[in-house]
Amino acid sequence: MLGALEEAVLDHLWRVGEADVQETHRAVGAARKISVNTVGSALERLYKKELVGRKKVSHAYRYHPTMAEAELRAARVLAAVGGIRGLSREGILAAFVDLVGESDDHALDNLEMLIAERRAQGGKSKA
Amino acid sequence: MSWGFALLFVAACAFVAFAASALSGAMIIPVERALGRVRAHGRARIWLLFSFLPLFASVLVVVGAFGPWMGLTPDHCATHFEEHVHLCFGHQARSASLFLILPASALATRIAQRFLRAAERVLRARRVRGELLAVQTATVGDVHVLPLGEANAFVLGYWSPTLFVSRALLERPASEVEAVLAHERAHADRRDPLRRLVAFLALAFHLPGIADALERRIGVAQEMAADAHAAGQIGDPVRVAEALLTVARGQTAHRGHGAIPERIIELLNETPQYGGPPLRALFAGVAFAFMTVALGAGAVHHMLESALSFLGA
Repeated sequence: MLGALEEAVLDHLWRVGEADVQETHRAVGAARKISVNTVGSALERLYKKELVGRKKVSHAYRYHPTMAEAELRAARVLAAVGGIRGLSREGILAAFVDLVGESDDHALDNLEMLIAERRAQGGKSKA
Repeated sequence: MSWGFALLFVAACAFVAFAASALSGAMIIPVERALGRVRAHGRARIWLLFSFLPLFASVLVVVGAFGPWMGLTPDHCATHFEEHVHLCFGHQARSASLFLILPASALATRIAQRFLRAAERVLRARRVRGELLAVQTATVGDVHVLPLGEANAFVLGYWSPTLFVSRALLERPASEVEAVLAHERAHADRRDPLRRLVAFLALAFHLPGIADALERRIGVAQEMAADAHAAGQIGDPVRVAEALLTVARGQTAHRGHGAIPERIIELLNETPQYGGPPLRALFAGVAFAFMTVALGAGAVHHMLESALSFLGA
């Protein structure tokens, strides 16, 4: 869930591509009569939610959106209805991959080796 | 219809359904072993049939109760007078033991819950489909592209499922995309979500744990059947296995217990497999068996009345 200020900050970043706290404050904070720190906190929250990235230029961070507006809208629609995994669990949709078993990385590594072996054997068709 | 008869009737359906469910549950593991060399779509059909067994058994109770009244089966009630309860629409019991409220309400609650949840799923699927179509960024043929950063694809809807793919999936190699789309089209062509919904309703007549076990087996078998269809269409099961592995690795949330390892091993399995019986043949076989039993419904009915009397009805 995003607050109204976070939405406005994100809208601004989508428009300009990247901005620091001062520039964002001038664009969205001044009209709302809120402090630079409040805008900075909103950017920090967006960073923690992984919706914006940042890089240090001189002494200030410059923030940029990590996903396009359409992507965020689609992700929010899906999240609001339970996500692909949730909908799949409830039988509302059939996904190519729904759930991956917990701590499955090791199992997936083993499967990758099995697939590589089959590929090396030139295995293709199945009776 | 008297309340006593209604209670007796629903309780009898519950006893028979739950007994058939317990029997089905005891058969799951041996049947699973026996199905080892049957193709996934055959396994999906057989598990689907299993989900209907308690419902079919309850139909026998209905035939037994209404048969004599409708002239379908011999009326034996005169032969046992008041020695035990009459589970017969023509000679309705006026009262029944309150103990029967437990099984009757358990079955009635499960049926009501499942029907409400199924209705909610259908409405929710329509709403979600509309919301996703509103945020799609492109349409390629029958494929709707969603601007999502995680590679995946799914079909949504019951009667004519809609195929959605994420933008991230389309950025993968063409061979991988082809495998995933073939898999999802197989789900759509077979109307797998609808079959799952029908099974979900029939499973209301099962005991809860057994219903869950069958539901999972139907789901996994349907996924494997769609994998096999995709493998057949592109002529390379290993490529489908590779696509599964790549998409599984790209998932950000690694929770729950999916069937990815089983599906990949099934695709790599080189043991010859045999097609299962057609769904119509399976249902025709079961219908024939039940009609045969229904001819002896009088005896079955009498046994059920005796059992209910023994249980204090």
